[in-house]
Amino acid sequence: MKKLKSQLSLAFICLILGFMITYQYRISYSKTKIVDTRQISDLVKQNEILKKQKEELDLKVREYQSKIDEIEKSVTIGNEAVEKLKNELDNLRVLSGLNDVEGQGIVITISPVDNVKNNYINQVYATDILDIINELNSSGAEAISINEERYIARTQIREAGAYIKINETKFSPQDKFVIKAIGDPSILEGAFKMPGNILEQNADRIAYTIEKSDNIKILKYNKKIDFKYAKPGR
Amino acid sequence: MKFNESKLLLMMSGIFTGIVITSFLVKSTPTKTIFLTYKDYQKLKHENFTLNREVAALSKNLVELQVKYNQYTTSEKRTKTILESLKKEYEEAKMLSGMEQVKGPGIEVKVDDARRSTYLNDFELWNSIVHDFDLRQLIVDLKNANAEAIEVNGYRVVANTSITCEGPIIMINGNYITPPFTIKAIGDKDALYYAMYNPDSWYKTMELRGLKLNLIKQDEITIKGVNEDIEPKYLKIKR
Repeated sequence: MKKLKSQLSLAFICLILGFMITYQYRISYSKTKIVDTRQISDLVKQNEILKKQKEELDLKVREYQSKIDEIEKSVTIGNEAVEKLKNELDNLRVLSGLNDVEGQGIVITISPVDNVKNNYINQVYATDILDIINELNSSGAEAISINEERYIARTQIREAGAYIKINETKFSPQDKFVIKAIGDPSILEGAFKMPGNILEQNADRIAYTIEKSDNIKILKYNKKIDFKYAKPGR
Repeated sequence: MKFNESKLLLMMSGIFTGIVITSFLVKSTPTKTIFLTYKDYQKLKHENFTLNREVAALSKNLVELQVKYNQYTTSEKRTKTILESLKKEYEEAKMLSGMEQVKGPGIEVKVDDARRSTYLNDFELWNSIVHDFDLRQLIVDLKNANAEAIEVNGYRVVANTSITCEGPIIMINGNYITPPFTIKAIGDKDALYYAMYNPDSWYKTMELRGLKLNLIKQDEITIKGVNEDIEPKYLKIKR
């Protein structure tokens, strides 16, 4: 009896020990990155400051926009031709990507699958993004942005050295890309639900998520673009 | 003194456990590190990146609005200034949206299927057809060479243009097109020509497939504006 008791307790201790060792083993081998708390709290703090800044700027922008709208209205009111011009201008600005817009739609996130086993580094290619944009457009997307870069008629998406350049802004092809589109959410999502769709075809290389949303905000195109060769002409 | 073997073993393992536990404590308390999965960190970083971009865009926006506001308030002929500014914005927006018909130097690319009397196999047949992705890739190459306006068989390529394969036919902006395809592009004609003709281009691989291709530099090309009215249904301007 006494022997059994001591054996049992021994077994219990060995069990705990085993758990502890495997736990430690798992922690050191699981895919975690140990980041200094200072680094994280810095990042969190920075984000909070940026959020505040964003709110303040947003308020100011609205204030000036309404002031300008008022002045423009005071001139256009009663003048039919000018009023028409203003309306058409607003419509054109939406189409050409010169306005911040919002509406319902979907958000697609793509990121390269890390292949730890093969030691092979995956990456996102420009054509991956371009193909998704083509599918979104064929499903009736009205505005598209990739990592907050508005997709307009003259947007260039290309590989440039170790980067992917979108509207001349550099992005790492090993990072994730967030593609937002405004349009009918169920139709947009449907384009990527069909068996054998472009995302499924590349699923071994690129991980993706699709989310429907009722409130997607897409920023306006924020660079200057010149027409050097093309001139308006009838 | 009589040694009990199992008791000794128990004691030894107790000591060992103690060492393991203390090693944990020693390791985790003084150097304040927390475990954060790489995903969490990435998420935080991406949020930071997005916020930075938004703030930059907003401040730029604000400066533009302030300049405009100052122009409006300080000018003596307010009505005239406003009208002029509206007209200028209208013209810029019309160019950028692709609604305006434009003229300028550029190149014209003609692409046609390779018609043979017999095909050795399916692969050769597949190679002899101009596919939707061929047109897309040509357009991307032209855009990357800074083409300012592009049209395919009379349909302007704009922000919401899609080119898809609809079985035996290709669809652009909801219109069916069939070969031969004519792509026109306005821009620096030498740059556009090189974008098509450099040894690494998609045009070259199409040439290798035996497709009928033709490339002409031109001093003046006319490209029509978007011919249908696009009425946004889901978009709202954010104010």
